[in-house]
Amino acid sequence: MFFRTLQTFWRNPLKRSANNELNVTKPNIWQTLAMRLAIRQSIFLSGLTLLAMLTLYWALNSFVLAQISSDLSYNLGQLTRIQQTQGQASLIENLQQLKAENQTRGHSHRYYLLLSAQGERLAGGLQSWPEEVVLDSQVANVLLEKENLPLQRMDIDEGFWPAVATEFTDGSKLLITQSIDSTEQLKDFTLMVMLLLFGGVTFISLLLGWLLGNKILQRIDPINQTARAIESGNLSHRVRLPSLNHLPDEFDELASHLNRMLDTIEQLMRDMRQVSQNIAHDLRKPLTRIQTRVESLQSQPSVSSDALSDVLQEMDSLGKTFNALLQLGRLESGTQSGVLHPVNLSKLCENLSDLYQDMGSEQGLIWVNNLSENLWVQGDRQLLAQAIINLLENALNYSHSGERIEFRLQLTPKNRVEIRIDNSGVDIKQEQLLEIQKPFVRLDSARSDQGNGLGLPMVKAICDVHHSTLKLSIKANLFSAVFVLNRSERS
Amino acid sequence: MKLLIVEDDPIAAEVLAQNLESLGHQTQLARNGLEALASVAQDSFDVMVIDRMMPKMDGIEAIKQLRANHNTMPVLILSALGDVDERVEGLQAGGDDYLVKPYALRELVARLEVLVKRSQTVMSPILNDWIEVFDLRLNKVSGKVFRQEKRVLLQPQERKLLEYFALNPNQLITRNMLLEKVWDFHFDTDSNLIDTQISRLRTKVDKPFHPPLIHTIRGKGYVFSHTPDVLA
Repeated sequence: MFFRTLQTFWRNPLKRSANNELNVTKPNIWQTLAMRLAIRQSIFLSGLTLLAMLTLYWALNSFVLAQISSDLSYNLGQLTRIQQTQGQASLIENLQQLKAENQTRGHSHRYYLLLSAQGERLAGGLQSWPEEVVLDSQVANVLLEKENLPLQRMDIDEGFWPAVATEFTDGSKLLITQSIDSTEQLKDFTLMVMLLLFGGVTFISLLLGWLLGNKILQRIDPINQTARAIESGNLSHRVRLPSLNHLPDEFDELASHLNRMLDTIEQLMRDMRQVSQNIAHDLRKPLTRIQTRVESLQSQPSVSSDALSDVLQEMDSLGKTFNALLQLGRLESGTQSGVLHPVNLSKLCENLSDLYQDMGSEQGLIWVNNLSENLWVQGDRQLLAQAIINLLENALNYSHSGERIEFRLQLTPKNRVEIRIDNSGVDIKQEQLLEIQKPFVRLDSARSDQGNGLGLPMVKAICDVHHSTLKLSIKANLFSAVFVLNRSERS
Repeated sequence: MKLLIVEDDPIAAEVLAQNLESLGHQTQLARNGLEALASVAQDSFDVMVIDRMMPKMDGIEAIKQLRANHNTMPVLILSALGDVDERVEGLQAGGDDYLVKPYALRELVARLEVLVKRSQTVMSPILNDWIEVFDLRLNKVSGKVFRQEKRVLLQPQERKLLEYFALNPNQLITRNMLLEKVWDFHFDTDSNLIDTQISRLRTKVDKPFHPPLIHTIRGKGYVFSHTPDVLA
């Protein structure tokens, strides 16, 4: 953990050089994602509205035209029946009556033309027979020009009108057509309403987008402010959380996550400074000793080889501390993660217990072994040996004559392998358990000042490599160190 | 002995050469793997000390080529790369021993001497699985140990330790060498673990007999010998 923080510190983005700085200034409202999304959405919505309205317009139009053509067909049917049953005279009479009704109706609509077989105009308002008309009793759009239209109604527009025509058995021809003025007006009106609606929808969705963009900017702004403050090196800044008069939303969640992250980073930086100081302090002691020894040698006329080997021993232990620091760094940064192989942990533990039991009995300790046989785990033999040795040496270092050390290796109910080293007579408080897993932390009750204070951090790092966790506990002077490994088949 | 030192750092190479020469050894320097192979082709050496990371040809490649030419010269790799994987890589390439920088000169010299003596078969002879050295006999297979024709009963680890001593008599053996070769632990320990094991072995092998065979060389390690001042 400590090395990870150290490394992040070296690659610290706190002071970024000018050339790798992303030149992000505060975005204006139109550059916000919210605004752009809102605009995109409003364009989409408006388009959709337009499409819907056009469909409606087309349907309405078709409906009106269908209505007109069915009216025209029906009208032609009626008049044909009159011609067939009551004769042409009656038809002419009828047509004249219709024309009169038309005139009183103002802007209307239906115009007739009855021609004799010889082409004389017998009745109806139209002046002349349009050329395109087909005598098939089918409604079709026919171009009606000025000269076709009734004289007295010069104000109506020429154009394509729906028309229907038929030829009777005596050779006379009847044409019915209808002006489309009122349909045109309906169309115009619909179109205008559509444009208004379209404009309204576009405006409202843009307004909503603007409001949304503003709102989001408002929420993000404190986060950005904090980020800027931290960028400029002030790690103590935190995102201001608004007084929660609303339910916490995703921005509140983001802000509180950021704050917690910053807390952790700040804590790590503090730890790292502490650790650096500890390293400096711990390395200064042996360096000072070496310096004074060499200085005293300098003042002597001849140098004894014993005096030199003392200096060399000091340097040796300094080298060991450096190696341990390096290895700890490699373990923590995951560069020495290693491939895990099946390891006969029972055999390893037996060997280690064999090695240390003697040292224990020399110190007058009671050594109890409780090692299950034939347990294999996935692991790195060197690292596991190192971890167990560190724990055993700790137990020896912190126990006094007459105390008891129990070394256990057993299967857990979940078919995993548990290593447990208990020793009695340890004077340590519950709250110190976390502390002693940090580098260079040593307890005053250590029997000797042997050891570099990197033992437990190393065990912890080795446990991490094995996807395990070192658990330390203290209960009435009984100190336990436990970690659990995944069992493997013997290779 | 006659050494070939392959090292690209001129100061480190020069200091090492001076130290070894002051101990009465002959040295020759090479700055990279290519130069080393050229030197080996022209001259013969008792042992080669080779760095790993060098320009033109690194140490591993040089050892591989050396072994490909059926050269069995003992090689000690002296490198700042000290992970277990890196050691394994070096030994698999054909290195005979591996020492991590920074190193103690006495450790290096002890290891070099063991390598050279082994290659010159000045080691204890092995006859029908029996190692015979001084007044001690040890069977590699059955594990039976006799001293002055009296049976000595040992634990398996004690036997391994004694076997290593018996195979390398009259040699300085450092604690780290024992940790690596006998227990296969490639890391430092702080405790006097090895000393405890040695004293346990002494009570069984040395105490009941005369003269003692296992001698402590203060600040350096141990020597297995009939005469305590063999290294002096």
